[in-house]
Amino acid sequence: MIDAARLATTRALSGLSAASLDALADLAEPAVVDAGATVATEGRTADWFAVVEHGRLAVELFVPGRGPLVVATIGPGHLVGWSWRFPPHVWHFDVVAVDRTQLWRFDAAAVRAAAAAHPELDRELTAVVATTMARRLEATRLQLADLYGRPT
Amino acid sequence: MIVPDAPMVPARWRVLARRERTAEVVTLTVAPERDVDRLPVPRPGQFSMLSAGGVHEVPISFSGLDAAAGPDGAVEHTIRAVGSATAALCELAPGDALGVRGPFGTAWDLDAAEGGDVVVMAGGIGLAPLRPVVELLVAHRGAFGVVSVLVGARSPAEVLFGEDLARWATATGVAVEVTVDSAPRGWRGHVGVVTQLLDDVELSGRSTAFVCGPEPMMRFGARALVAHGVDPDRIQLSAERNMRCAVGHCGHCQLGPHLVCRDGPVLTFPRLAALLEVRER
Repeated sequence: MIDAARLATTRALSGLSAASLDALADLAEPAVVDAGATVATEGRTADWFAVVEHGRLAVELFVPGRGPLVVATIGPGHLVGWSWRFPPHVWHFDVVAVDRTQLWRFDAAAVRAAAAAHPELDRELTAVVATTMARRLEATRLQLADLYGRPT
Repeated sequence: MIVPDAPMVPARWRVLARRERTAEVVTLTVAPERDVDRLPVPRPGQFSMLSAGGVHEVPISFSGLDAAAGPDGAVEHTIRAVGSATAALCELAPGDALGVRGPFGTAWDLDAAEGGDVVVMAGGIGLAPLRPVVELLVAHRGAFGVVSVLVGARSPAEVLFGEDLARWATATGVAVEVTVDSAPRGWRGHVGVVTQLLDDVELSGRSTAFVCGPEPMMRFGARALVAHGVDPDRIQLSAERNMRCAVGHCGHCQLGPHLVCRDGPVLTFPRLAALLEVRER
């Protein structure tokens, strides 16, 4: 358990109500991962998610012949993982620590159970995940547009 | 705006130095052959019309002005080879001649930024016209608040002015963050889009932003700056259009009510916002 006020300072969770923050704080555990450590692997069960406190994580896609390709980085205050929220609860990409990184880590099953019991938490968590997905979708579209590529 | 007495007649300049920045980006240090061919000292954000090898002219902004007022009047232009004219310029070697007209257009308004925090947001080759701005911000630290230099590039290999970025980051009160569209493992910077870098920047209605890059990047960048609390009037952007005469006669660079060569390239966001939606092929 950690202080709900600390979660409230994060960009990902700052919009949550006090009751939802308290519920999440009860389920949060601090975690530290060393630089280079793989914290999630594509295809494995997404049984946790986290918010970055300090440090940076890389979202990677392994490309045969090219090796791991970093497609996004996640910094302080942002959500790590949304696959835990929707079936089949499977990580879609690898996640590797760029730097030594401190996280507030949540057990996905416990949070889903809490959300099932508390509709306000359920609704607010859906908004948190949707906001994160929308932000990353916009970024991905701009990256796909290859704006800095050679004009044709 | 400064328009020389004979604005349509190119002066003959020489390449003093050539430096390859990436596979297709080159910085040329150029200076007039004769004192009579010197042009007015440019201001950051302005551009000159350059030509080489008998190919048509192209507008190229100034990427280095440290020596512009010096004895040989040398300036730097950083050019990306994307067509025949820019390719001809990029192939120039020290000693080669080129035609120069300029300087033209409006400049970045640094006076408007004095006393407040500053964000410099650049994408790709858009860092080139902002480089003299950052040099001035670093050289006059006492006149400005916190300076955040946010840079987007396609890949780590295509990040321009790496040595400058590292040097600027050592200045007190200056933060430099670089993001790329994708990277191999081992890249220590960010991966994503440049607007995401604003998350770690403290902004207010007193902050001033200088933005240059591809138009979609500027559109999204300016909107993100406004969403982070920056006054739209304090967002300056550099518009790029098809400039030919550079003196407001031919109309090729018309963008709504503006002739970009004369009224721009630097314009505030309110003057440019609706026009950034204009779909010029």
